[in-house]
This record gives sequence, C-alpha cells and structure tokens, in this order.
Amino acid sequence: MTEAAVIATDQLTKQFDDYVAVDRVNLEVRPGEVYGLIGPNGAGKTTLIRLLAMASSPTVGDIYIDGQPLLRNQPNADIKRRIGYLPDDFPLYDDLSVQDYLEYFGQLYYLKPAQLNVRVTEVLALVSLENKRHSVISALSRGMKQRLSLARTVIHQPRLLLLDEPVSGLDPIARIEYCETIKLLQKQGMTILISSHILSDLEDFCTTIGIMEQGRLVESTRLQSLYRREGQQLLIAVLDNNAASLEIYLQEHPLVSGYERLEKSRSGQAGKLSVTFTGTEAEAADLLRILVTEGIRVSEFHYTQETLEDIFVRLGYRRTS
Amino acid sequence: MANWIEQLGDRNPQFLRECRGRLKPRSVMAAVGLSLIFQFLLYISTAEIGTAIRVSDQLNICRTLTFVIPYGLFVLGGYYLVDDLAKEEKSGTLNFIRLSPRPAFEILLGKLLGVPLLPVILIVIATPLHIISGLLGGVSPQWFLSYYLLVAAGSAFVFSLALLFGIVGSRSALGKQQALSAVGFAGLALIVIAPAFMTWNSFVTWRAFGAASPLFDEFNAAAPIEWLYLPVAANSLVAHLFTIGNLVIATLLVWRILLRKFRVPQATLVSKRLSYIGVFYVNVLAWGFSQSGALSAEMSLAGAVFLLVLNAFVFLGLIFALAPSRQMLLDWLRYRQHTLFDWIWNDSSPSVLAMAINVIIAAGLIVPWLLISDWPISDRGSTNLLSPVPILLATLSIVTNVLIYTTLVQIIFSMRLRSPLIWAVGIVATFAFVPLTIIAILTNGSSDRSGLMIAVWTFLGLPFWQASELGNVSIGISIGWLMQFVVLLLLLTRLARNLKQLASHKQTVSTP
Repeated sequence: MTEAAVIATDQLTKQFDDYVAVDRVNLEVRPGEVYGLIGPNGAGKTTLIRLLAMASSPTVGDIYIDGQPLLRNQPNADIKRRIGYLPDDFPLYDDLSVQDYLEYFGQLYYLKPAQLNVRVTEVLALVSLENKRHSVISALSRGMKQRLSLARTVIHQPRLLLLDEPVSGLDPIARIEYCETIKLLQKQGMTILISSHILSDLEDFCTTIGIMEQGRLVESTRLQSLYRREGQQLLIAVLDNNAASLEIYLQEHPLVSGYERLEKSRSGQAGKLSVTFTGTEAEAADLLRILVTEGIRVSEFHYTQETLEDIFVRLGYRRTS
Repeated sequence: MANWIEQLGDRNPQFLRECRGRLKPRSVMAAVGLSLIFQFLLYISTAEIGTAIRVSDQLNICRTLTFVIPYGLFVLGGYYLVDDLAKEEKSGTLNFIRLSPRPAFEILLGKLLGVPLLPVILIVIATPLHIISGLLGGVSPQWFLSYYLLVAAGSAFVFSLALLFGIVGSRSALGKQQALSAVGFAGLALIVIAPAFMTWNSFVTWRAFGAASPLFDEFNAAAPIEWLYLPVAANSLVAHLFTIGNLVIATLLVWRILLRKFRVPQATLVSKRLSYIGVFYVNVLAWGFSQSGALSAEMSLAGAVFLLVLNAFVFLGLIFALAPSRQMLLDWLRYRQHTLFDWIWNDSSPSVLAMAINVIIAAGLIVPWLLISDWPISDRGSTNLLSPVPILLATLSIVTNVLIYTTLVQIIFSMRLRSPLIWAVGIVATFAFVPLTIIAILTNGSSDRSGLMIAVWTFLGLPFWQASELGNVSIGISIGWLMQFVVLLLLLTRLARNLKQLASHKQTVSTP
C-alpha cells in the first residue's frame, strides 16, 4: 500500500452466506490511472466497485481512498465528496428536468450556487446534452439517460470515478461517443476504475488492467506490461533437423516465457511453434538474426500482437484449468 | 426569487428537489381547489342558506375542521411519505442519496418537509375558515395557538414514523408492494394515530381551556388525568409541556432508528442500546398513569393489566426488531469477538440475552409495584396485598415465555430461508395464539381453576390466573413454568447448534 494510491485495499473481503464475492483483494490504483476491471460474470467486479463506492460494507478488510481509511457505518462525508459512482443500472428522477436533476446532485455534493450553473453547462457539454437542458428526463432516450447519469456522476468533479459497466446496452455509435467522453475525463486528471465486458473499449483507454476470477484479483498490471508479458506471439517454423536445437535455444532465451507446439515434424520434434515473447518488435528481429546466425534454418517467422480479449480468454482458460 | 431558491438548495437540496418535483401548477391548483370545494360543502351543510349564520353553526364548522386537519395531515401526509420512500427504494434512487456526502438527517428532513407539501397546502387553505369560524364561535385565540402547535408536533412525529415505515417497509418481503405499505400506514394513521392524538389532547391538553375549547362539550365529563400524582390535565402549561415533551421524546426515538436504518439498511431495526432505553421509557410513562389519586383500586388493577398487555406488544415487536439476520450472525460468528459485553451491546449478536435484559427492566418496575400495592382481590370487595410467591413465579414464567419466542425467532433467522421474517411472524403467531384459543374453547373460558389447568394456561403464556385456592396457583404456575423451561432449554440447545454450524462455515480470512 503506497501513500500516493487513490485506491488501496487490504485483504478486502465480502462474503454472502457461504459465497465469497470478493476474496482478500489487495488493489492499488495510482493517481491518473484508468484501471480496467475485467472478469467473467459473477467474478466479483460489481461487488468490489460497490464496496469502494460505500454502497456496501466489507465483511473484513480495509479500504483507503487517498490514504484515508473508510470507517465502517460512518458517514465518511469527506471521502464521499471525492468519489463519483455510476452503477450498472442508472435510476433517474423522471419527474425532473435535466437541469434540475443535475443541480440537485450538484447541491448534494456541496457545489456553491455560483459554481453550480457553470458546472451544469460544462457537464452537459461533456456528454453532448446541451440542447436537452430543459427537457424532462422521462422524455430522454436510453442512451441520453445513460449520458445524463455520467454527467450526474462527474458534476462535483470527483477525484475518483467508479464506473460499473457504463456502456452496456448502448449501440455501437453511442458506445464510441461514451468512450470518447471517458477519455476526456481521463485527460481532466480523474482517476478512473471501470468494469466492462467490452475489452476492445478498455484496451483503447485503460492504463492498467485487473482480472478478477471467483472473487480474487488474479492479475493487476499495467496494460503495456501485460501485452509484453502475455500478448506478443512469435510463430516460428523450422526445417526438420533444426527443431531440437530451436527448442533448446528457446528454453534458455530470457525473453521467451513459453511456447506451444503447433505441428510436429517427421522426426517427432517441433516443426512449428507458437512462442510467447516478452520483448519488443526489435528484439524479435534480433532473435531471428541470432537463430539464423546459430545455423537454425527458419522457414517461417511471424511477429503478432494479441488483443486484450485474446489474452483474457487465454489467461482465463489457463487459470480455470 | 432565484437567489432565494439557490440559498434553499444550498441549505437543503432534498427539500428543494421535493418542491420542484411536487409543486407543479396543476397539482397545486388541484390541492387548492379540493380544499375550497370541501370548505364550501362544509359551510353549506352547516349554515342555513339565506339566514344569518348562528354562533353554534360557526362552532360546528370549527369543530369539524378541528378533526379534519390532523386526520387529513396524518393520513395524507403519511401516505405520501411512505409511497415516496418505497418508490425511491424500489427504483434504486435512494442509494444515490445515501452515497452523497450530505448528512442523513438533512436528507430525511428535506423529505419530511417536502414530500407532504400538497396535503399541507390542502390543509393550510382551510385554516382561515377554521380560525375565523372558531373565533366567531367563542373559541379563544390561545386555544388556536395550542392547537396548531400540537398539530405541528404531532405531524413531526407521524411524518417521522411514516419515513421509518417507508424505509423499513419497502425493504421487507411484505413491503414490496409499495402502494400496499402506503395504504397500510394511512390506515394506521386513520384508525389509531389520529384518534389517539385527538382523544388525548381533548381529554388532557385542552381540558384547562374549558369552554374556550371547541371540543369541551364532548370531553368535559371525564376525570382529570394524573401522572405520578401530577395533575397534568389541570394546568394548561403542565399539560402542554407533558404532551409536547413526550411527542419530542417519541420523535427523537423514531429518528434514532430512522438514521440508523437509512445509513445501514441491513442493520436490525432497533439497536440493543435503544431497546433498553425504549422499554424503560415506555414502562415509566405507562406506569405513571396508574399512579393517580383519582383512580379507584379497580381502575389501578385495570392499569396493571393494561401495562402487562402493553409490554406484551412491546416485547412481541422487539423480538423481531432485535433479531439479527443470518448474514449478520455469520459475520459476527466468523469475524468478531464473542464476549459477554458483545452479547449485551453488539447488534449483530443473538438477541436472547438482550431480550432477557429488556424483560428484567420492565419487571424491575412492575413487580415491586404489584407486591407493595393493595389490590381489590378479595371476595368481600376489600383490597389486599398480592401473595409474592405466585407473582414472582408468574414473572419468571413471562420472562421464560418471552425468551422462548425470542429463541424461536432467532433460530428461524439463522436458517437459510427465502423470507425468514414471514416464517417467523407466521410461526410465532401460530404458537402464541392458536393453542390458547383452542384451550379457551375446549375449557369454556375460565371455568376450570384447577392446578392442572393453571399449569396449562401458564405453559401457553398466561400465568396470571385466579384460583379457588392460593396453593393451586403456585403449584399450577410452577408446573407450567417448568414445562416452559424445558422447551426453552431445548430451543437454546438448537440455537447453539445452529450457531456452531454457522461458525464452522467457510471462513476466508483469519479473525482480526
């Protein structure tokens, strides 16, 4: 746990009867990060976000926001002012106008009258709802309501934004617009923790990724590190009598974290290998040069970058199995 | 105007939100129109058209409105509040308000003041007619001051209760039907709260006004009420202090529960600490009325019976209000300390010991009073001291009986059931009332006064039984109590087994 972390948890656990929804999670999110939380349904993402937002209290464990501990069954008003929480459902007050709704939440978060009007204008511009300022909420479309919910979440300029499945149910265009808005918020310096099943979106703006499975945070790493460690694949095919030398060489290479035989040669050795490579593209080129120098006759050499989705599926499968 | 609204929003955004949501021109016009139509109908039904209105007619209009105002406020205001809270809880919007940094008190106060605005407008429009007709009918201005002060204090209590009903009711299995819970509270206000408010004030608070009160004719015959020999009804100032003081205490108790349930919806309804204070307060208040020079021995005995019945209802409520849910028990058993202090004060610990303490608090007040007072129990009509042995045995039996139901409810709450509250209410109601009713029918009421029948009645929860011989009473109650004690032991064994099983369930983290 570092003092500078916006979110830090220590052995955070939430247990419902015998079911452990969040299991001894030690999470750390640093200032300015966009932390993407991924995992299969029922992995505990929503429960973890609810715990961080104080919508639920932990069974055991501690939460620190900006180094300040959340106190059980206490108002924690000072910390609440720093958090913006958007749950996966977004209930609104249908009887209010967009402006009245945003003003109400601004006032709930102690925005002064002078700030209020400015902030309402700013957040409406952020979510492109300026022309709906005086519309009644019940008259808005689902996408608009979802954007209004985001506007409500950021009206008080929180330091930490907790977004639980914010783009679920949106059409592709609305989803892209929504993601652009999140990028804007990131540029404004907000620390964001977001859960989503649409990994291509997260890949676009997340700096860090956490993978949850059965309540455990099984992976928490910078996205670039994850790509380097798990996401780069080399496809190497060699001639028959060179297969054994290649395998020996790969086993000793520091940038190779593993390999898988795809086709066997006539001699029973690896003819074609899928290699998990943690180096850069230039280092892959160096590897090819060295193989050739060592006298290994390479017939195919491909360098590919896996998507987050591919990595997640592969890692998820690996861990579950 | 805009500046004023901004300031209001800054001070209490919840109140401003309610005003914006409710004070739509059409709704306000409807409320004003309804109020005016009602007043017009009242006027033409009382006064003769074409002739000058008489003083008695003016008084009748005032008297009718004196009843209509609190009934309207309590019933309609209560309905609006319960309905609003239930709607917010159901839609999930209440969670956002909970997560805001504003204090819970401020939010709930905004609700309390803002949600019943339309019923308040409806009533406020009727106040000029109420006051003018009353003044013309001979009612004193001071009475109006008292009346509106009491209506305000009564509304604060009723609206707080409605908020609590809304928050608690909407989360319970029964309260999922939001309209049903709102109608339920409105019914309670109409049948119990508003009549009790009007009866008490007419008998006590406004008694000193004499004929200057519009309700004097209806209530002047009753003997003035005393509390701890203090003639609360005789002096206007004392009567007001007493009434408003108790309304304030009751409202504060409701707010303690309200704030707790708003902040932590999963918490037990009442904390153990508050239950001890509440039981003491209710018993002192009720017992005080039996300490009166104006009461005959028979009426004092009726007072004692009333006190016992009142406590039966209080404890019946507390059995459910104090029992922690299965999840709370699990967390407590897995991760908390289990000291004696914890059993007495920690709200997540089983409620059995806390209920025993509550019964002892009540018994500590009632039993010595029963033992040292003279009671009209002899056949010759004179008064006598009660024999201490049956009284003490009966007390023991009542304590055991309360603990039986407490343990039973705690066992049900510790089980994995879909709606444990409904199961608990059903089982307790069945065990508490069905056998008693059957025995009453089979034995033709109270005709059999043998020791055996006293034992049976005691076992079923009614240890006070007049017998032809004193010996029968003591032996009967003793046998009945022994049977209860065996049942309690069996239930406690079962509860201990359940708790042990829960504690042995999967624990992910070592106890801190």
